[in-house]
Amino acid sequence: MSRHGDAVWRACVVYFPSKHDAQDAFQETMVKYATYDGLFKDDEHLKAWLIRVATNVCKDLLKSAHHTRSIPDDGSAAATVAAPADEAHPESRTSQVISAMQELDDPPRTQVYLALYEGYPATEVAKMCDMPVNTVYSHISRGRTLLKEALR
Amino acid sequence: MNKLETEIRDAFDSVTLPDDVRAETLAAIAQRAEQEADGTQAEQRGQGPASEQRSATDHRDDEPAFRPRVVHRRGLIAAIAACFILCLVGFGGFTAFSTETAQVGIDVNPSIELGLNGMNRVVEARGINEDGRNLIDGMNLWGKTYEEAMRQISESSQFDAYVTPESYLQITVTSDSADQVDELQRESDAYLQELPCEGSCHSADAAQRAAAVEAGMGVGRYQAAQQLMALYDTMTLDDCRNMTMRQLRDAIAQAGGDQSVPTESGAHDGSGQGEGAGNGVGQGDGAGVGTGSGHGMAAGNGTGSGSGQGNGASHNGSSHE
Repeated sequence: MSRHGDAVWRACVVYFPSKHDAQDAFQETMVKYATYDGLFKDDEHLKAWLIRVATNVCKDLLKSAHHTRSIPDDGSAAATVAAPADEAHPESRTSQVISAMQELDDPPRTQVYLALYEGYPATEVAKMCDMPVNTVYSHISRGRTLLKEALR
Repeated sequence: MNKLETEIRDAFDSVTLPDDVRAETLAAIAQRAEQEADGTQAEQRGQGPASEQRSATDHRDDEPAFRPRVVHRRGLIAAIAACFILCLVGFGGFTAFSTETAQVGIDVNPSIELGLNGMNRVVEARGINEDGRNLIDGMNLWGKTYEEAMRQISESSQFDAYVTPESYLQITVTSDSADQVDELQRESDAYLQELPCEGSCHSADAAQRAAAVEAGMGVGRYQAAQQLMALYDTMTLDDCRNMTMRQLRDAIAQAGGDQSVPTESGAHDGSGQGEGAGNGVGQGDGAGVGTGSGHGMAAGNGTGSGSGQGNGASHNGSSHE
């Protein structure tokens, strides 16, 4: 968990602004990892596997008909995911960038995140997302445009 | 990298896994194992697994959807054990499970270190040198017992290549708990018996380990390097860093160092065949099984009980294993 915990957490944060929801997805991913018996070729393979599982878990949770936004009983806003430095400044640039990513449709959110943050080439993203490379290029291009507009 | 990518990178770099999420995830794994164990029992009673009785949509908001899936037996056992630990120690057990209480260093040429909790389960696996990092790269050792982890490491083809009859493997256990040291040493000894190479198991205290960590070396390698440097003024830590354990041990033996440290396996039968070695060097107890080790060589005609001809050689060698 220590080696790729941050990477898995970020992948969950991309989908869920609420810390509670991101935590659900993170836990589900790590449970899958703990019960997985296969071997990984190397550390990069492991990381890619974890991110792929995390994104699938996030999508499954979002698709779940009974998935509800995390709103505490007292009606106050659910805890949101923010970097420590931004908790005091929710409108900081960092928060804006993360929010803009979270507000993208999916696709292109996953493809943009994997390519622009994780640095995976389009061919790798295509494998991870199980879609043709050209479609990935198209999603990345569209997502990039949308992000630029949102952050203008 | 353009501005957008830089902004994305900066923003997400600042998002790190919160400690409470890390701790609660360990708890969730234990909880899930319990549910799956219940499901397995129910299935055995012909009631079908709990996971199938529960759809992905009827989960409470405070827990993730639980979908049916194939559970690998070994992973399940590890998870159940984690759950058992939880039951034993209560809520504080989450922290206890992830708390490293012992370190086991394994030095051959690759140097790796396993961090174990109080139940001898792996909570960290570290590659100390490049070969070590390559060795454990991609291995999922987390949560496994020490024995399971060692078995998994042994089964890797990469490790196989290093562990030959000519190689030497040292295991070094560090823990504040004498009981844990004893237990791990026992398990290590049993493990060494199964390997084709020579090997030995030792313990080191926290200070020795800290010094090795600071030097960026495995504890066993560091100890051997210290021994060798004491014998050769010109030898440096960097010289030792890239030597295999076998090379270090051979060099120590040639310099007349005490080989008594790694003893068991008694495989030092070659020792003392050496040529005399003038000053009685090589009489290291390590010569172990008594083949000789160059007693009485001083005169230069030392016969040695080995095959040592001695011939008056004044160099310090011996102990060609």
